[in-house]
Amino acid sequence: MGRILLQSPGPHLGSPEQTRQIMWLVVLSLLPASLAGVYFFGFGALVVLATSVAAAVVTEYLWIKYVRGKEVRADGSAVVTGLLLGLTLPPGISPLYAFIGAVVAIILGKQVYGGLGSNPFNPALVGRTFLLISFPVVMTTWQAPWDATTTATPLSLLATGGPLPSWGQLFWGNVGGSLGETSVLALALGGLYLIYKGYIDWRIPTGVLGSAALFSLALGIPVTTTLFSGGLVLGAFFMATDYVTSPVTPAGRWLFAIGIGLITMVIRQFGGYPEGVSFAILLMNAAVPLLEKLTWPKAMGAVQ
Amino acid sequence: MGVVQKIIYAALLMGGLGITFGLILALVERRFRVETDPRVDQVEEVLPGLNCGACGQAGCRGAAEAIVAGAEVGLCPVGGAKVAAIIGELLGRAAQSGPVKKAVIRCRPDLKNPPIYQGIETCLGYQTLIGAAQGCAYGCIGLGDCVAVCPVGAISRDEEGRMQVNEELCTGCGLCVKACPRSVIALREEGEDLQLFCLNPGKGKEVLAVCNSGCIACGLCVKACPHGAIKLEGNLPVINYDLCQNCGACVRKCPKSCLEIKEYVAEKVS
Amino acid sequence: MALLSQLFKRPAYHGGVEVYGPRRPLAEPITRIQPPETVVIPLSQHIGAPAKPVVEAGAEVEVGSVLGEPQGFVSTYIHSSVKGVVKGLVTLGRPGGGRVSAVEIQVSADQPERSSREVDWDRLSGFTPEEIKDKVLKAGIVGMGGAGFPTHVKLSPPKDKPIDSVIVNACECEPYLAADSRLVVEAAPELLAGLRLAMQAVGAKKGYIAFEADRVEGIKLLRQLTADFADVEVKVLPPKYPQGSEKHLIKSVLGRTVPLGALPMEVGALVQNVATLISIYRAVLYDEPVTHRVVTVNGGAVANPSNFLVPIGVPIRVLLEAAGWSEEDCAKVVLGGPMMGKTAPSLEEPVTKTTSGVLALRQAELGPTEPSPCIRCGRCLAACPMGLYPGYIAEAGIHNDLEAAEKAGAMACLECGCCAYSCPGNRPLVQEIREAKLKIRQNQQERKGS
Repeated sequence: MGRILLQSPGPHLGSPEQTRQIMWLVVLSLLPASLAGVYFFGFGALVVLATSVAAAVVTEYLWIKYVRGKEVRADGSAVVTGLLLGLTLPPGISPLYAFIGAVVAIILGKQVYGGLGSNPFNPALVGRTFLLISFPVVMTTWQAPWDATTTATPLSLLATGGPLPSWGQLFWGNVGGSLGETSVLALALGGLYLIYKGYIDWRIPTGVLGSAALFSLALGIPVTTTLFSGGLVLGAFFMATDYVTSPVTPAGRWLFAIGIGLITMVIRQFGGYPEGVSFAILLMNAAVPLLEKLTWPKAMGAVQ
Repeated sequence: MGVVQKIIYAALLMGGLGITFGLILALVERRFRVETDPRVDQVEEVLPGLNCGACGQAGCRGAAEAIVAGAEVGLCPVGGAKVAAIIGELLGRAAQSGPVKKAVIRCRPDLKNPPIYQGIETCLGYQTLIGAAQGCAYGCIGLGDCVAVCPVGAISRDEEGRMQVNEELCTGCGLCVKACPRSVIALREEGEDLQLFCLNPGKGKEVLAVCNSGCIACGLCVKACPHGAIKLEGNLPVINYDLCQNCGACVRKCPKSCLEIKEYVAEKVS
Repeated sequence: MALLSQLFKRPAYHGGVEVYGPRRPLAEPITRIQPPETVVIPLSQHIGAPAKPVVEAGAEVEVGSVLGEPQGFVSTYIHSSVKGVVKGLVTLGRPGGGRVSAVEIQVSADQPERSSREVDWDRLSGFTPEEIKDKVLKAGIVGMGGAGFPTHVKLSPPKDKPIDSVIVNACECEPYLAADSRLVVEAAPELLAGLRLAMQAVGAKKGYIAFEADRVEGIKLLRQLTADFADVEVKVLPPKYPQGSEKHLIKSVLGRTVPLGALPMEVGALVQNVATLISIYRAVLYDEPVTHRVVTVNGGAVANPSNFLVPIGVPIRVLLEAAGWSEEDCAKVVLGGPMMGKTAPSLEEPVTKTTSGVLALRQAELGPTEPSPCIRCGRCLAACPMGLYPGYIAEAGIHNDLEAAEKAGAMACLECGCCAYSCPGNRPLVQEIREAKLKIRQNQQERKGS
C-alpha cells in the first residue's frame, strides 16, 4: 500500500508569528514601565501588579475551565490584561481593589463576550473604569514617588491651576500618578520596541499623541505637559493598540486614534475629570464597527 | 430645598416622564399598527419554534405565514402529524398525512487505511480536500455535518464512533440528507426494515482493499433469500420491499455483516 | 545596482507576503529522470472536459502517441510520454469526490532520447495564428504554471477583446521552486521563440518577460538576448509572493488593473508560463506534443534539492527517491509550491502537465497547526493581494452567512494563501473561504436551475 500521506489544506509553511509570541512580547515591553513603577513607588506597587496579574490569570482559567467547559490554553492574554490594569492603578492602593478590578476586567470585559477576540471593549480599561466609578476616593488618592505621602497628579494640578512639574520630571517619571503611567521614558521604550517589531500599528500612537498635541497647541497648553502627563502615553502605546478592540483597517485606525486624542483632550479641558484617556478609549472602542464599515478595504479591480 | 423635597421632585419628574413616554408609545403603536392575520400568530405558536428551515421557509414565522396563505398544514416535517392536525383544526383544513420517513446512515466505516486529515472539522471540508483520493469515496466521513444540522439532535456517535440515528427523535425532515456531501443518508419508510450498510459500487477486491466492513458483492445474500427479494446490481444488493419478509436469512449469511434489519421506530409521543 | 533598487521597490499591488527561509535550487541544472516500469497518464490534466481515451489494452505506443482526444472546445489531447504497451485504463479518485481515468502503460526497456531543438528564427513568422492555435491544440498544451487551462483556448480571445501585450511569467513566486527559473537559463532562445509565436497568435504588439529580482542569471541572459528586440522588454519586479499571479503581474508590468471578476483579456493582456511557451515553440516548429515537464524536488526532508525533466505519468516516489528524500523526516508531501500546492494523495501520484514541484517538508518547516481564536490583528487584511478582508469572509462562511461573504468579495479570492500564512492564530482561512465560495456557487446554480 505504501505510506498514508497526511492531507491538509495549504499553505504548507509555518506562519512567521504566533498569537502567544505576540502576547508575551507585549508583556516584555511592559516590563520597563512596571519596573519604573516599582522603582518610584516601592514594594506596594509590586504587590498591586502581582495581585492584578494573578487574579486575572486565575479568573480566566477558572472561567474557561468550569463555566465554558473548555480546555485552557496559556496564550498570555490574561497576563497582559492583568498587567495593564495594574499599571493604571494608584500605587498606594490596597491589593484588594486590584483583585476586584482584575476579576471584573476578565469576566465583564472579556469572557462574557465569548473570550479572546470577541470583546468590544478593552478589558483592562473596563476593570479600571469599574473601580474608578465604584471607589472614586481610593482610585484618586495618589502617592508621591519614594514616599507614602499623598500628592496631586500633574493633571489634577493642571485642572486646579497648581504649579506643574518640569517636563523632564514628567518624562522620567518622578511625579505622582498611576503606577505605570508616570515614566514616559519607560513606556516609550516598550512602545517603540513593539512598533519596531511590528506588533502594534504605528498609526495608533501617532494618531493619539498627534491629535492631542495639535489640540494642545490650538489651546495654548504646553505640548510636553499634555503628552507626558497622565495616562496618555500608556493608553496610546498599550491600550489603544489592543488588536481586538481597535479597527482592523489602517484608515480606521487613524480615525480611531484621532478620536481618542480629541476626546481625551475634551474631557481633560472641559470635563469634570482631570484625566480622560480611559473613557476616550472605551468610547472609541464602541465606535470600532462603524469605523471599520466606513473604511472597508476596496478589492483590486472593484468598481467604486 | 430640603432633601425630602428633592426626592419628591425627582420621583415626580421621572414618574411623569415615564408615564408620558408610555402614553406616546401606546398611541404610536395604535396609530402605526401593521395588521396581521391573527391566525399567523396562532399557527406560529403551535409550530416547534426551532427555525431549522427544513420546511424551506424563512423560519417558523415564515412557515406560519405560508401555511395561512395556503400551503399545506403538514408543511413542517419536524412537527409531524401531530402539529399538522392541530393546525388543521385551527384553520379548518384537513391534514394530509403521509408516512413519516426516518433517516438511515447507510455506512458503518471500518477503513483499513484511514486517511490522516488535518483541516476544518467538517465533512464538507474533508470531501473537498480528500474526496475520492484516499480511503473509500462513498462512505461516511464521520465529522458530523449531519449532527450539526439535525434540529432535534437525533444523530449521534455510538460506542465505536460511527454515526447513528435515534429514530425515536427523527422527524424525517431531510436536512441531514442534504447536509451529507456524499449522500450517505437516506430516508426510509415504515416497512423498509432491511437496510444495506455500504454504498461502494466497486468490485469485491477494490472494496476489500479499503474497508473491512464493506460489501464485496459475493452474492451470498441473493442466494440465501427464499423470497427472491434481493438482487445484485452494480456490485451492491438491491432490496425489493414488496417481496422481503424480514426473515433475516440474508443478514445471517452476509460475511461482512452489511445487512441488518432495523425495525422502524415511530416517533416518541411527547 | 539595478537589482538592489528593485529589491527595495514596493510592489505595485497591496499586500502579498515575503517568505524568507526556503531556498530554491537555482543553480541545479535540469537532469533527466528515467521512467520506471509503469507510468500512469491521467486523461484529465487540465481545466475542462477530460480527454476521451482512444487506446485499449495491448496497444503499442511511442513517445508522443495520442492516448486521448479532446471532448469539446475547452479540452485537449493527451499523449504518451514513453514507448511501451498500454496495460489498460485505471481510475484515480480525486478531491471533491470525482474520478479521473488514466492510461497505464508498461514501459519498454528502450526509450528514445529527447531531442534538443534549435531555434529556427526564420521559420517563426511563417505561421498564421490559426496554424499556431491548431498545433497548440494538437500538442495538448495547457497552462503549465499549475492552472492547466487549455492554451489554445487562451490564445483565442473573442474579437472584441484584442490583446496588445503578452507577459511571460518568469517570476516563479512560489517558494522552494526553481523549475521555470532553470528553464529560462537553459532554454532561453526557445522561450523567446515561444513568446514570439504567442504574440503572433493573438496579434500582440509587445512582449514582456517578468522576473523577480533575485533571478539574476535569467535576467542577465534575457537582457542580452532581447537587446536587439524593440518589442520585447525584460521587467524586473520585487520578489514578493504572489508576484506571479496573473492580475498582479499585469498590474506590475503594464500598470493596468483587471476588473473584478473579469479576465486579463479585458485589459488587453495575456500571461503565459515559461514552460508553456517553450512547449508552444516545440509544438509549432517540430509538432512535438507535451510529454515531459521540469519538476523541482525540494523541502527540508530532501537531501539533494533538484530540478528534474520528468516524463508525464511517473510516480512522485521516483522523483523523491532520486533527490534523496528521508521518509522518516518527512511530515508532509506537497505537489506544487507550499502556498497553493495540494498535499499528494499517495506516493504513486503521477506527475502531470501541471506538476511544478514535489516538496517533502519537515515538521519544523510546517510550524504549529493548532488554530486559536481570531484576535482581529488585521494581518490577513494587510496581506491580501486582492484587497479583501479574509478573516471576515472566513468567519461569515463558517456561520453560513453567504450573502455577507459574497458581498465582502469571497468570489474574488485567489486562494493564494497570503492570509493564512500571516495569521498568528493559525486559522485555516483558505479552506474556510474555499468552502464559502463552494456554497455560494452551489446556491447560484440552484437559483439558476429553479
